[in-house]
Amino acid sequence: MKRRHSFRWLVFAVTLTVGFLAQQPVGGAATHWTVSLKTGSGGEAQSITASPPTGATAKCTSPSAQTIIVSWNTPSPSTHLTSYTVYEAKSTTGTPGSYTSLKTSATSPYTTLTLSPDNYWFEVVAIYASKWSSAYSSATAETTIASSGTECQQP
Amino acid sequence: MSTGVFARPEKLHKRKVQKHNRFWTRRSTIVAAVVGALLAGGGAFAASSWVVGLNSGSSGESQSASVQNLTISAVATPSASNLLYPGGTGDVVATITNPNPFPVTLTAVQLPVNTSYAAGYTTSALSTAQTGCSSTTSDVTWNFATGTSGSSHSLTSALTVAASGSLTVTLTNDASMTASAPAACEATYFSMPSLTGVTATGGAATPTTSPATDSWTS
Repeated sequence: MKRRHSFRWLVFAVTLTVGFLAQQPVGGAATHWTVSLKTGSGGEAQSITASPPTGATAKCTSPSAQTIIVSWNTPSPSTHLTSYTVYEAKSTTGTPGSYTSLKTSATSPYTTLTLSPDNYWFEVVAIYASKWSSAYSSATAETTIASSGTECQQP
Repeated sequence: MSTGVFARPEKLHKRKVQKHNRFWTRRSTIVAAVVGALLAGGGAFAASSWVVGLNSGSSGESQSASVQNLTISAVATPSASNLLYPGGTGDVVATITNPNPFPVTLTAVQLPVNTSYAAGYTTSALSTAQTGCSSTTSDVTWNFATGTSGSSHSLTSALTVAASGSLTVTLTNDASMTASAPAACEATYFSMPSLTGVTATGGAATPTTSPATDSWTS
């Protein structure tokens, strides 16, 4: 009698197990799959704005010197700003000519070397990530260098 | 010795008992099998009934008819904290939409080839193209993308999108800009190249609170 009971339980257990396994997804595939995405599924990123320096000014080092001190403020935001370049324009008239690079990797305040007699204007550009240049800052007021008398003056 | 009608009464009784036992043994076995089969089927159904809706045969890149595609779309809010610059990385903000009637948990993304560039736009609405910063010139790609399309990258934390819901996530520093990116791409919004896929698990899970932050780092 014991054997028969054991046999019955064995059949019961085997049937239960086989039935259960038959219902299961193969290798757990049903609960882990790669879903396709609709075309164009991405995201949005943004690049920095290369903001120019603000508040550029020019001052005579002294009335008797042919040098000028150029200063400016750090732009905001200034993330990844790596350096500044100072540009100068000169003209015998009251209107600045074209700007040319005067000093790269400059820091504020920047003092020029001795300048030849002329009228001078300055602008500053910020360089970001050693690659992108900002727009020019606003131009400084006109500064005049003379060969004699008051050698540096501002109208 | 004959086993016919002339058998002794005690033998006759023993034979009846044996016959009775054989009958019950056979019947019990059949009943046990049927009950076992029913229990097994019912139990399996109760344990993973949602699998039926997902097509239990779905695996790998295949997709059952009942599983809807997820959508990942570009959004401007919240704005990215880390912005792209030449030779640097930046955040990507996206909204993941799950149209399925069950939560979906994302554990990895599959990226396009690393020469698939983002297109640049003048505003966060991504409606006006940025001159000189197109999908052929921007040099903006998914970070850690390789020369092979479909490379898989695990998320630092799994993201669960609620059933029929959406989740906005900032993918920290998962966009990359080469050092030679043109100046035209300054102050630009980028529509990132389409992902080629995601690895997701369907089923009961607690949805991630939106907006979330996540990333892949390799």
